[in-house]
Amino acid sequence: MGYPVLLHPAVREHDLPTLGVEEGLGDEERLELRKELVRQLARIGAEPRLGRAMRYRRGYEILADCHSLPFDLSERKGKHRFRIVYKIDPSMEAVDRSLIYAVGPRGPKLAAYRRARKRRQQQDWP
Amino acid sequence: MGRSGKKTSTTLRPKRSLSSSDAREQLPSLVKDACAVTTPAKSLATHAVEIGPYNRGGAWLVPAADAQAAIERQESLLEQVAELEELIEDLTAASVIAARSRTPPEKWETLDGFAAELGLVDVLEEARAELQ
Repeated sequence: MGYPVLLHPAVREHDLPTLGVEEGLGDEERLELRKELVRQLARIGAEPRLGRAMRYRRGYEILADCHSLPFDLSERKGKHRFRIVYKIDPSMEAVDRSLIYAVGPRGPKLAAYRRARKRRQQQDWP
Repeated sequence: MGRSGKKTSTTLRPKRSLSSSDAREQLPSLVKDACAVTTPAKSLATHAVEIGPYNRGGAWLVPAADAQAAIERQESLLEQVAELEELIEDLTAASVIAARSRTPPEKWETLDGFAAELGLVDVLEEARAELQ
């Protein structure tokens, strides 16, 4: 059955509606991207220590046990454009439970992506 | 007068420029000079010889030591950019994680519930079956 995976409500409510929009993906591609996301989440449920362990430093201790797992459309070649940010729950009673905090574009694009998301929220787009 | 915001680009050119026919005649000595360079210069243009019709350039003859050093510089820069991208990604993610970690546990949703909301239960089940 694997390990438990919990997602922050904002992943579905805020991250998903804009996932792939800035990258110019069409409706079908965005649906395929969501399917790929679900597949990657299933992988995390089977093996929680996937992707890159985030490097925490002074002042950013919150990044301890956090991982960044890149993903993209399965047929697409090149560097993956999106990532899943998750944390392996450090509490004793939740061994290897993964907490999915965010889904979005990789690297420095996240700032622009977040601004777009904020605009979208402010304008209350459908 | 203030400076205009428009950037000006400078084209770096080697000091030495030869026509194609001159370069053909001098090729043995040009190669000999290039082979003699063992300490790479900071710029590819330093030891390069520009070759082209009517001394207008178009091709550069560069010592292997300089070319190799340029490749290594590029690889090093790409690694640094990747590290910086990761750093920015991590620091940006830290603020998102900090904000979202305030949500009480009972509001988080399970993967099964998430897939069901998206109408992708079949995809989840298929992925799980493949992973077993």
